[in-house]
Formats: sequence, C-alpha cells, structure tokens
Amino acid sequence: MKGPLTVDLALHDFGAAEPAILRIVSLWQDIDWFEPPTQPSAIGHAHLLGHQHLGHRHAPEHFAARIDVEHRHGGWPEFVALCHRVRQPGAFDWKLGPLKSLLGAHDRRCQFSLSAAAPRYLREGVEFDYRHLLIMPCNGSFVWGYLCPTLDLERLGDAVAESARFYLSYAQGDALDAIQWQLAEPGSPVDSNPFLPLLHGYASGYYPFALSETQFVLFHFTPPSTPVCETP
Amino acid sequence: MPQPHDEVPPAEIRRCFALSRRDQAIVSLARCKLLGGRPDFAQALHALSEAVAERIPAGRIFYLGQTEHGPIVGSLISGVGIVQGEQAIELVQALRERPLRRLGRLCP
Repeated sequence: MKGPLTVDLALHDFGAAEPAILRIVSLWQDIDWFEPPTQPSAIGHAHLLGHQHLGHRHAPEHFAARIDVEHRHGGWPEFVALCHRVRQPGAFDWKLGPLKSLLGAHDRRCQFSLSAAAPRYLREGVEFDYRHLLIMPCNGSFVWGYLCPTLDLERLGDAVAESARFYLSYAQGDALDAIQWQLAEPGSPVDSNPFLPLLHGYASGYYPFALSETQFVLFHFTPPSTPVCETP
Repeated sequence: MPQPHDEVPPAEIRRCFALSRRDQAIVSLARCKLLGGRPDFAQALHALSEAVAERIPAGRIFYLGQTEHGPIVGSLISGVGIVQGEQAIELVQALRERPLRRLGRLCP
C-alpha cells in the first residue's frame, strides 16, 4: 500500500542536513506498507540488529548489547493482535521510552534546540501553510507536519484500520526522529543515524514490535494463499 | 492553587474521558502554565509545547487539521489538541476520518 505525502520539502531549507533528509524522506515515501516482504527474513533481522547496535553505541543504558528476536508471520488478525499486545496498559513503551530518550540525549549532546532552529528551516518567501510544511515555527514554539502517506485504510474495516493507523503513526515517529537526528548533527553520515535501519526494515516488509528492552517480535505479512486448482 | 508539577490533574480534566492519563497530565501542566491568563493561540501552543517537553523526552506536537478559526495542533496518537475557538482556546479531539470532538475550553 502506497500513497502520496502532503508535506512539500521544497518549502524548506535544511542547509547542510538537506541531502540526508531528502534521502530519509525518499526512503520513507517508497515504503509499500503492510505488504509481504521484498527481502529474505535475514535482511529484516539485520536491519533491526543494525538499529539496536547503533542505539547501543549512543545510549547503552537504554539499548541492550544483545536482543532476542522472534520471527512471526501472518495476516491482519495476527498483526492486530500484536498491536493490541504492545498497547496494553503497562506494556513496554518502546517508542516513547528508549527511542525518545536516545533522540533527546542526542539533542542535548549536540546542544540542539528545534524550537530555536525551526524558523531558519523555512525557505525565504514561502507562504506559511500548515498543511504542507514539515516543521512550522510559531512564536518560539514549533509544530510538526503530518508525514504519513495518505493510504486507503478504511477499506480494511474499522478494527484493522485503527491498528494500521496506530502502527503507521509510531513508524512516522521513527522517520521524524531520523530527520531530527540529522538536523541536530548536520555533518554526520546518514548511515550512522540509528533510526535509519528501522525505515529500511519497514521498506523490506518487516515490522518490529518491542515487548521489552531485550525481546522483540519481527512480523511480516504472508502473501495471500494461492487458490488450489482442482483437477477435473 | 495547582502547582506546575502536580501529578493529579484537576477534576474537570479527569472527568474528560477522552483523555488518557498522559494527556491529562500534559493538559493539566499546560493549564498551570497559563494560570490567570486568557491566552491567545501562540501562548497556548507555547504552554502546551513546554508541557509536552516536560512530560515526554523529545515529545512532539503535530498539525492535526484545520477549522475556520485556525489550525488544530496536538497529539498524533490520541488526537487531543487545541484550536482557536470563537471566544477562547478549545480542547478538542481530532482523529482522522472522524468528526471533530469538542472537549471544552483549555482554560475555563
């Protein structure tokens, strides 16, 4: 499933970080969501380990040196069940826990404030339009634009669409984290960005769910079963 | 008088059943920062931004949509946010593909 983005990066000037950000957004835009993998499971596994390795290098207190990865596959019922599992009250909060801590610590290490920097990311003469901007400065504050692709999730039914939207929203957080990482450290090579392997993982059709700091499920969708042809 | 770091939000926020505990804490903190004032949208956004930053490391506020009075900004996950109303800043829930739900004024 693919769809267009409403954000228009041409309205921004990200300076030295621009090539890296264009690469991140291009990768994000090309993801074919909720489809069977395009790569063998070893590739999806390697992307998750790559992310964990970079996270451990930057924030060993939040990212274990070794993790257990259980591979699972199935259709929407299995995917929705995993979404429900990680959303239960008291469940491990990967995205708002270790991932946010990693980004926050990097901002502090780089002495970077997005609130302070946001006004200079608007290209000169651009008409201020909330619908198409990625980062909108506003009197010392700022607001993020919506980077999720426009997908026809409604056709999946309410329950499935709700879980798909949940997953997509959190995955979008990874893309924005990757962008913010480059803004904080414009000269750093994008391949050392710990959020980039997560986007590569989605692009290859593997969807991580963190059950704890060391336990992960890596899910992929199975292709629809081929109808069996009966011999006359 | 509520203090900026009160863990328990005021009763009228706790009764607002659309809010998760995290949203309750953030809205409560934003209100404390605005106490005694009648904020404009920029002031309300600033208070909300500070509250999010204090409650969630590297937390974010998103553009959620538009009304005739201006942009709706808030949490992408819960859809809870603020918008300029006819007379004051309103608390709303804006989830995609659903009608806007009004939850009352940000500052009563």
